Amino acid sequence: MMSARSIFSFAFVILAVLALPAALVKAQSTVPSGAGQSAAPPTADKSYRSSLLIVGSSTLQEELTPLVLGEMYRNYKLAPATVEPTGTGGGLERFCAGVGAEFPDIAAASRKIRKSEIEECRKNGILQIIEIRIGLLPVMVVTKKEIPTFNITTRMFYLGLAKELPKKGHFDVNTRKTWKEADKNAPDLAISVILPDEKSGSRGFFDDYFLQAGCRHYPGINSIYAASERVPRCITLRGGPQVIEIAEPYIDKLMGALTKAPAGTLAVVGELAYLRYQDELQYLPVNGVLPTRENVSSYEYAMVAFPRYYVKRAHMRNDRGEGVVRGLREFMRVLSSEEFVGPGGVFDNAGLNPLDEDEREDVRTAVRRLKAIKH
Amino acid sequence: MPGQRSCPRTVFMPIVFVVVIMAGLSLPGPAHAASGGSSWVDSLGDMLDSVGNVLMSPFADNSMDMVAPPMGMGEYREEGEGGDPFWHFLEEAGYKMKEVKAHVSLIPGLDIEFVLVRELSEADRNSLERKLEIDTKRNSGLLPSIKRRIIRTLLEASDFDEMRIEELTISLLPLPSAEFVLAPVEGPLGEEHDLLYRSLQEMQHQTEQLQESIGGRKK
Repeated sequence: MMSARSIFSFAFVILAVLALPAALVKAQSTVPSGAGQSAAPPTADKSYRSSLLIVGSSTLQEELTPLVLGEMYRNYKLAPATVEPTGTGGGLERFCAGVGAEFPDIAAASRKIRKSEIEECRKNGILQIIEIRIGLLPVMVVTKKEIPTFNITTRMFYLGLAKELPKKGHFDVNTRKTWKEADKNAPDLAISVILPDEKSGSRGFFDDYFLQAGCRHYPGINSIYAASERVPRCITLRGGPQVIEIAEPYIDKLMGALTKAPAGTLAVVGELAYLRYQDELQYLPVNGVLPTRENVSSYEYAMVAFPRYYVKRAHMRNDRGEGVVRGLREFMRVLSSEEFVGPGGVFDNAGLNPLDEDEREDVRTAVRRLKAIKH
Repeated sequence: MPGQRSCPRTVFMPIVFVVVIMAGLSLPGPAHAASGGSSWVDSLGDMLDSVGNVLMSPFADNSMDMVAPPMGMGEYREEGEGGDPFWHFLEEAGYKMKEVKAHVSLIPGLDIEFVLVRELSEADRNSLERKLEIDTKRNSGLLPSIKRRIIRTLLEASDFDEMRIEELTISLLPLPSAEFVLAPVEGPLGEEHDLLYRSLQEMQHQTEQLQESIGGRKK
């Protein structure tokens, strides 16, 4: 027969065992609201790498990625990520190189991933890529403040910078020296443009939205049926003093290059870069529209990039805590949260225009469902 | 015989009938929804305008080759004001009008045939997708959405590796519809044809120069 004391002791042990899960649940609830299930460290972390590896656009890596990581570290116990500003092209090249601990988990891109890059990803076993659009980033044409501005058009860029131009059924070397030769309404100013090199996403954007737009429907170009033959005619730049190409990190080298360049030199930059030097720079209207916030939000200004982050689905951990790295879901959650991408949010204050409400909700749905982009 | 001729009123009746049906199908956009009771009148007016635009636009604008690259809402609006943006989208999708077929009967028909004259680059596709997104925000009726669906189909087809839509027939009456002719990419109008065409152009240019120089010597 058990004594009364033994019965009480036994009952206490039972109660304590029953109360333990409740106490654990309470301990977990200290994680901020909105945080995900993986916030608490797993019992056994079987990740192959201890921290995130993020590559890509120099602008995004310098201006926005640190803001996201800062918020992540405040909410989750994660090792500091490795952030490498490689330029969008260089970043996507590394991102698509393979799956495993030695390859990046996330690529920051100031332009959309190209079909050829998706093909490269697929070839290397990266079958699911999650795309997170974070806002609208106008790409601007700027010059130093003391220089008078003028309206620049995409057609002027094509006529001023292309290596060869069509002339009566054949192509001649471009000899235009002033903007006036490209457009009779432009000033008699020497053509000189500073551009990021080909690894930069801004350069890819410039090729697509300025040069290709400028040569689209141009007589002599329009009659070329094959895109593979037409596009190089549009985007191959002339040498000489008219084009000054700068390697990454473009933003850091920009002001030095503008100082050395002839007066009236133009530069092509994303808004975040412009904001950094807005005391010294002024922007020009492109196709007659100024890149003000109103014009960007209302789509009046067309030269708008959609910066985004690409996340490798294959690097996420499974329910047993196995996978390449921990923190991808947390990164995506912070990145798509209204506090970051909404009006008056962290990115808005940093100079990135918010997407409209429907688009933001679409992004959050894609993040929740881990929806991969179409191949 | 004069007695056997149908009077103009009988000919126009089916057209009016079709226009009214199309107006009925058109979903009200935000502006119409806000205007309350008179929205169907506005819808009908808009429909008549849009059918008018649809019929007139391909004939009104014969300077497509010289169009500067419009991309923003500003340029988009100009396009919209000048006519239906659908025709501009078709041009952007690489198609050019080949012929118009019209037939008059109890239900009149109007078909416009287009041929593919330009293969799209990735940038061309992205640019057109962007314009369609802007158009979706501006025009929410059924007719604009049918037109956008046609352009989106062309865009998707332009991404095929082995097939392409070489011919497109847009039927405007009684209801807008599209017929696509898919053909293998390795067809007679491939890249070789394109090169050949431009070689001939260049040869013509050289011949002209030669003629000019001979003419100059004679003088």
